Amino acid sequence: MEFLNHDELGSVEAALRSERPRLGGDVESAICGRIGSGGSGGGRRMSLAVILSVGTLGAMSAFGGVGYANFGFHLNPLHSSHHSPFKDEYGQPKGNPGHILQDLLYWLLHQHH
Amino acid sequence: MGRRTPDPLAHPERLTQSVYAYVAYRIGAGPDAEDATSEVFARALRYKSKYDGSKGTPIAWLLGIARRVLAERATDDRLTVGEVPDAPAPGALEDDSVNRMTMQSAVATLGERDRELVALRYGADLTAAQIGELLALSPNAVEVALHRALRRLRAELEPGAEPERRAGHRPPMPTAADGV
Repeated sequence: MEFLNHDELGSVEAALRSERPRLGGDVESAICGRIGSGGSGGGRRMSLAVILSVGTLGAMSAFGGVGYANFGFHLNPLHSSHHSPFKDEYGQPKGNPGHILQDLLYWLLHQHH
Repeated sequence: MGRRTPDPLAHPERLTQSVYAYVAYRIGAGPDAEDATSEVFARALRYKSKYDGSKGTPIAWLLGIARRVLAERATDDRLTVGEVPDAPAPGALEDDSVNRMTMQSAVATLGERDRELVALRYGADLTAAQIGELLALSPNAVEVALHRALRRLRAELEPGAEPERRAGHRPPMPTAADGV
């Protein structure tokens, strides 16, 4: 494309490139630093969630956990400090719907005997 | 399994300079351009996960954000877009910073469209094809428009040079007195 006569404007192009505005070092460092640290913002949030989850599970493990507490309650119903007429009569805990059914079956079986 | 999109901000040093040069050629170097550049990268960080490498290079993506930032700033009237910095006194052109100011002053005299083209080509260092994709123009149309912008710029920088005809500034019609 000779008609464009690039040579004529070569000095302007060269000046535009060589005199290109440059960002100050401190501003550049600030932006790059933010990209370096802020870029992992989602990762930081994920790490925090993992740490909290692990911490909660660890604390529960240390105290035996909810499952263990429930398990212990069922293992030793007669030594529980909780008294009720139902338990006193049949020696079974109450409260859980599943155990209410068990209690009813237990009672029905004892009625036949 | 799909191909993983590369991190568009993996090389921030080069990208910050390109974005700043583009912004500075558009609105003039200084604190406003620095603020706008900072805003561009803040948004880029926020929307990094939405970057699609198949749709363009990281610099093209960042310049798309930069154009929106500048458009919003112009709308908000927070910036005086197009303000021409003071030109330095003649004879003091050896100093690099003065040269830069002269060039920026000359660029600031261009129209919005020309300034956009110059900023994309010589600030952000995009190719004509990349500029064409951003502005929905053919590479040839970009080259021609850039050539005209450079001629206008040369006329600003070298007052003796033949000025480019501007839209709405037609040269006077030849008359009988001119020997026609």
